[in-house]
Amino acid sequence: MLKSNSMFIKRWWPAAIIIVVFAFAPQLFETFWGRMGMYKLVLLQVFLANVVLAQSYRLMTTTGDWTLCHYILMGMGAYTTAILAKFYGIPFYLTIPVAAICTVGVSFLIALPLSRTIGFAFFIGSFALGEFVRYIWEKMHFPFGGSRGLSNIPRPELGQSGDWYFVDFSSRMDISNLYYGTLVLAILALILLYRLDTSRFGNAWKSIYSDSELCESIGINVTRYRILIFCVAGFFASLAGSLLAYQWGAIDPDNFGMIEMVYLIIWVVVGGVKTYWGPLIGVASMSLVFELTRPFDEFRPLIFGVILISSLVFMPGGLEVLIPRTAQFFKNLVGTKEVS
Amino acid sequence: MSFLSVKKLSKHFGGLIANNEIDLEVEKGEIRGIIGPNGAGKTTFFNVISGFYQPTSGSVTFKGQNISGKHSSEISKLGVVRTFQRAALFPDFTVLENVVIARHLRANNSLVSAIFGNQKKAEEANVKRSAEIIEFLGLGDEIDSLASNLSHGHQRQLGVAMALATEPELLMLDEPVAGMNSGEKAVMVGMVKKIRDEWGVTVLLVEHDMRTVMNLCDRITVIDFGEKLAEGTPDEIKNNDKVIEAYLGADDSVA
Amino acid sequence: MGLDILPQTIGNALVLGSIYAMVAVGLAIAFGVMQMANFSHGELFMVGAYCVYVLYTLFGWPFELAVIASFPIVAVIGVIYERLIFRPTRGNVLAGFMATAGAGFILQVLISEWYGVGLPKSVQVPYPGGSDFLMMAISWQRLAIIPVTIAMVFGLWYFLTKVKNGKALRACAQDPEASVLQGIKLNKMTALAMAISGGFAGVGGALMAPIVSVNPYMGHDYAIIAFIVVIVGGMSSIPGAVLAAFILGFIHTFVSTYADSVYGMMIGVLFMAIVLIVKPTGLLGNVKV
Repeated sequence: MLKSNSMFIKRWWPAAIIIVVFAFAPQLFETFWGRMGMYKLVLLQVFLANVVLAQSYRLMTTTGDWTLCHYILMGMGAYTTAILAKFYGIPFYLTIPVAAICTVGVSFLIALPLSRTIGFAFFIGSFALGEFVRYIWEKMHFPFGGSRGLSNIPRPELGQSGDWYFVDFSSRMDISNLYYGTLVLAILALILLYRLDTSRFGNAWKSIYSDSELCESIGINVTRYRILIFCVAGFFASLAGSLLAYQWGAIDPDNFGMIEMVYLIIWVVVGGVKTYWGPLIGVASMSLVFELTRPFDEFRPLIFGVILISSLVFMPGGLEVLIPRTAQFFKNLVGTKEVS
Repeated sequence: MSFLSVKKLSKHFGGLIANNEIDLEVEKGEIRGIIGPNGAGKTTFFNVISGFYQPTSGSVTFKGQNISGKHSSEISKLGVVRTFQRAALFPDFTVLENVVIARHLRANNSLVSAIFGNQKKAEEANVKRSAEIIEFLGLGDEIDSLASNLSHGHQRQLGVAMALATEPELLMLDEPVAGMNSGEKAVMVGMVKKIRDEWGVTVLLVEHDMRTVMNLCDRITVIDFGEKLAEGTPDEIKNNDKVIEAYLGADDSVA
Repeated sequence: MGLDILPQTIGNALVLGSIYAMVAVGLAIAFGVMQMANFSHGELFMVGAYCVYVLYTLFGWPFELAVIASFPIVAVIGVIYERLIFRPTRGNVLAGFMATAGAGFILQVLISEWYGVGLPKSVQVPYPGGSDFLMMAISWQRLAIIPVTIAMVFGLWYFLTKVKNGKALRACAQDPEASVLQGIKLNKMTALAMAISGGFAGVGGALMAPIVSVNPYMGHDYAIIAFIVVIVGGMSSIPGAVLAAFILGFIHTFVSTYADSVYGMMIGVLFMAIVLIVKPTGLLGNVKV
């Protein structure tokens, strides 16, 4: 028992440090930027939601199926959460799961016609079906708000003032509390995604990518598993969407368009999808580039276009392929302490 | 009743008749071979029985249950599993991991328990059984090697191990000794016999290598031009005129 | 609303079908020859429209000349795509496709910087006035699109069946390895296919310039439609693309006229979904994508 505990620590200490840094972010931001720091926390919240989204997209790609409708699935989560919160006053601990379930349903409907196609037709078909959903948001004034979307989405609340578990989301405290809520949910989601990835289902999905004929012969119904992964990825995309709906407070169909989908692809391509850590690297590096290019924001699409093309042409595996090399580099610098 | 009963099975590809009303009865516990010249339709026959092709007409019954037209993964679930002529494996995983993945069919935890439950414990039984199978087939030394690093012979053995991991009752081997040298062939023959003798798995195999087939099979069915030509014990087949003609051509007298 | 606008709707459907055909044929040929899928095909269309804006509106060239010039201009861009994006990613369809998304961004930014993104540009209509051709109340400008499309598709057919390089293209689409063994240079063929692809998209945009508002993002809708058309028709089938273009043109026009243009898009997508379920390889396609 002790042995497995120490191995756990040895593997996960970098993640623990990162979590601690994130946990103290509000204080750190306030120290560096004063009052403005708290408002910059929003950036971190968006970052966290994007990480969950990118990780869920990576899950989708383990079977080799790349979709163009993933952002729309996130939008489904955002819209459902917004509708339930705004029109029905439902608390966040219900809106988020209900939104996720609805999104799973929509994912299923989209996956069905696509399940007999692969590769390119799958990609484009997913694009068209995603757009179909977006047209629905644009056309239906109730409940989606049409092209103007939904605004004034109420902040999440935990309890009433006076209850012992009351968490104040509705005053100046709300920014940091909302941040912590986002952080907790994001960490939970990432843990679940990790466990999925290392489970026998994760292996089954990777095997489908490797050799789908072989999978059929050992009893894995490839079509069924492809639909399953579509729905599971949709579930997590919905979580990211719920987080964004609460953060932004207002959403409209243009928030979930093609440009945003391409950015998602850029994060995932630049980071890599082979390992679990690829998307994290991708989101982090691209978010950094995004911030650094603020002064040239009209050139941003061009810069990201160049990044995407360069990445695909010169480093198709993504930045994650550098991890073992970097780790080896540091090991050589420091000198290995453990006996292998 | 026969274990596997194939009645008047036909498979047409447009105008090409690949299998023409073939009958086959396989008894439980036998090792049955299917042979025939190149292009005779043996692999097509295999593919239809195992669900990778849909039959044009005819029926396939396994243990009394009609499996014709079912999807291949369903047929595997019912206990009929086939291997491939090519080296079919998951190259990025080790030998042990490959077989554990193949145990997926028989693993009994759901998606939710896979996420929330104790992964290690659930996998214990599967890992143990996989290791047993690997040992049984003589691959024990390679258990932690990456599948892509194995020799061809070992890779084919791994394919058999993965098929066995699904606990089949009927194992269909597609050219199990293709591309092997005589040493590897002998190993494979011994393995197939062991699988039948010690684990009671019925075996149906397609093969070109005559010596292997004669050595291994209890009965042999010969297919030529998509039709059943002859059937019988190895001795009967060896001396069957029609079979000799099919393989060597009509008896041309030396002019 | 009713039958009295039927001839006009048919006319509009033929016009729309022609534009769809123009755009989709470009996609089909690029995909057929070497699985080159261009996410930013709509941006090539957009560049064609800007060719007309620049040459006709700004420089005063005759309209016809501006349209003709758009073919080689956008064709060159197609060749650049081939060299910089498709050749390095050959073999990985998805990678090439995603890379072209980046290229689309680049084109949009370049055009925005050059010509500004504020108000959409408007191009004067060179053939003003409505016609009463065959009882259809359609503007001459729109009507002109049909014969141009017919001529270009016919020209392409002629090229592919009678001209040496065109036949080589078809050989390449059928079997790249065998073609190479016959002495056909693969790189020349892929460049040629992308040139044709770009050219067709460019002319499509050029023809539409006087009809729709010209802005850097105008290509987006046409790109979606082009892809739906190509999927419905069969990914690498040119006749399939033309057939599907007209089917979808009719669906979109009729639904838009009698209901709403967004519904038109939605029904188009549903039609595609049905085709994918019933015949995943497309109406006239037999390539497993």
